[in-house]
Amino acid sequence: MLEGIDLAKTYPVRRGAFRAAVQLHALDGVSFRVAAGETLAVVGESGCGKSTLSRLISGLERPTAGRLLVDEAPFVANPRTVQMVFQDPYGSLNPRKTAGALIAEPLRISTALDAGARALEVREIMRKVGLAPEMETRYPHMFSGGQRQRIAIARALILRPRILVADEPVSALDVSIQSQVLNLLVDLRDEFQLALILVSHNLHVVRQLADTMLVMYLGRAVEQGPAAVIFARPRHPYTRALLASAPTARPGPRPERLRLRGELPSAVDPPAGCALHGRCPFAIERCRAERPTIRILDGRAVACHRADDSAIAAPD
Amino acid sequence: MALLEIRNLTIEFDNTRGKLRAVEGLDLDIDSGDALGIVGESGSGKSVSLLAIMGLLPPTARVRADRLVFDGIDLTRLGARDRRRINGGDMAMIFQEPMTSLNPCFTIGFQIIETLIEHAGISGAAARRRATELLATVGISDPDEALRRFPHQLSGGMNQRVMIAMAIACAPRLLLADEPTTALDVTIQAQILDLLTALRHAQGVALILVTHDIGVVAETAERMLVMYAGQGLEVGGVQELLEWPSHPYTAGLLDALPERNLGRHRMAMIPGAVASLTPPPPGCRFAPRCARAEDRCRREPPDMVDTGTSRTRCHFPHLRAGDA
Repeated sequence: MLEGIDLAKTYPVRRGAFRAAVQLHALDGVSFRVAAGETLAVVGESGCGKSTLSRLISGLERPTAGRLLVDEAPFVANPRTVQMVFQDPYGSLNPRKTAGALIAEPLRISTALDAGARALEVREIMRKVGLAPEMETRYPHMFSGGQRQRIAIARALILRPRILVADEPVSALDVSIQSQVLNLLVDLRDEFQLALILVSHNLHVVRQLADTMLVMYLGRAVEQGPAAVIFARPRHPYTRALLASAPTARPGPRPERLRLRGELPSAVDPPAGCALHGRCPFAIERCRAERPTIRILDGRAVACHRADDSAIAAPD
Repeated sequence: MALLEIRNLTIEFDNTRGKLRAVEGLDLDIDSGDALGIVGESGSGKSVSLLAIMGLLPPTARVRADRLVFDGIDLTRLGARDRRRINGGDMAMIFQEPMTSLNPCFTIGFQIIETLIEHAGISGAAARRRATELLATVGISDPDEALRRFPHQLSGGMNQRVMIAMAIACAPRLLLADEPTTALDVTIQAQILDLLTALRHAQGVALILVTHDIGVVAETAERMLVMYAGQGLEVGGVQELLEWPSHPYTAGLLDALPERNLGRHRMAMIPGAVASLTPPPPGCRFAPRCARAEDRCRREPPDMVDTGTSRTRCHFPHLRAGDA
């Protein structure tokens, strides 16, 4: 239903008052597709372009190149099609408005409904996100973090959008509350047949929710495909390192101990060849010289010269 | 004798509506070279407890304990001068935000060397050599270059390495870390946790790691203390607690983790919200959210009991199958 083709976004960056601006490639040739009722997870660390991608999808920014399509027609973001839920429910709700007014606001702006009809809709959506109707007169500070995120979700869904972009929706919440909100997102995705774009650094959350996933590094897709396929056997060294680095509270043996060396290189001046080569334990001469193209391997797309090299395969 | 022994620690603050008891009746022991992870959600009292051990709470905080003893020294009677000798010397702390813990106006080198001159009593040139060694120990590839840098010129992961270098500068016997990797990306987090574990084994330093992430504790600590609403609810070996949690809160927290819900459409969850401390629920503080709670739980605060796998503050703990 929602499709992105070869999306790119560059920002001009000045590195000094008298120096010419250089282009920072925040997003470079990323494509994806997500169907109604499905979840696409966008995974990566700071600077990988995942926030840029979610800003393009939600229409907060325009792509420098590439196209966004909905039902194969060019897509112009509008509040009735796409909505967002942000990470921080403390910063994203106006403290001077009541919960009811916050949830009704999209209706007030984008529809011609009168106050009575709006009130009915607000009650209906509050019930669906697990908030008692009498809470509508309270202000944001009177709610817990989890309840505030429910308000944010209610507000995002009240116009019945087809696409919901959730940018780290639970990472600011207490652990015991996270699963409540994740369950809610799954239920609402199924009920409203939402195309859900989940941006997250938490691979355990992604594994739980995602149908397909897109792993990004320095603005490029490094591995993408069905989440179950990738989690069962990640092929890109970056995906493998992410999985191996995620702390896990399960008893028993650890997954492979794969570590990346060093730190993220500058996005303004990215390394030649494969962007990961300076940190990758498997990098060879070719990785330094030649940028890997995306190829299909074993049911997913992967951009790595050595993805099918049995010498570096992960132990089973 | 334990390196650090805490019995019945209580921390109170005054606020506009009266007393707020942030921590109540906390017991804690750690031996040399051990690693203890303290897990809890917001308001559980985990960070405040660390600050009390370090003596960093504001004067408005009332800290009381039957015992608060580090290496034979009674920390409740410590004067300011003696406290300054211990902090940064035998006992050191790493904070969550390396960017705000370092002084932005001075170079990395200045800040490490200052610590060394103050605590180790060595001269400028020797301190500089030692600072270079320390940065190499924490895995900074060009230490001489890093010494000349200001904090804003380094990444979050690099700054956290610098903080760790400063913390271990005087070979502490106890290292306290409050969410040391929460602000970092996962691949960098893994590097920092590996570093802390390596230092612990190489230098025999005891580590208390405070975090909301049970996964981090599972990867770095041998023992785990679970805190909730100002109290310790369960303490035991990490592997035992992961497999046989006795307290319903520990069990619920583990069940709610996505990595323990693989293949399920809906995840297990703990209903309700974290308990308030003004005032805390009577009886067991977890009772309002607990599926096992009975009348007794809502009336009578439970004491710590031994369940065979852990020590647990619960009237009706889960018992390991076969042991009951």
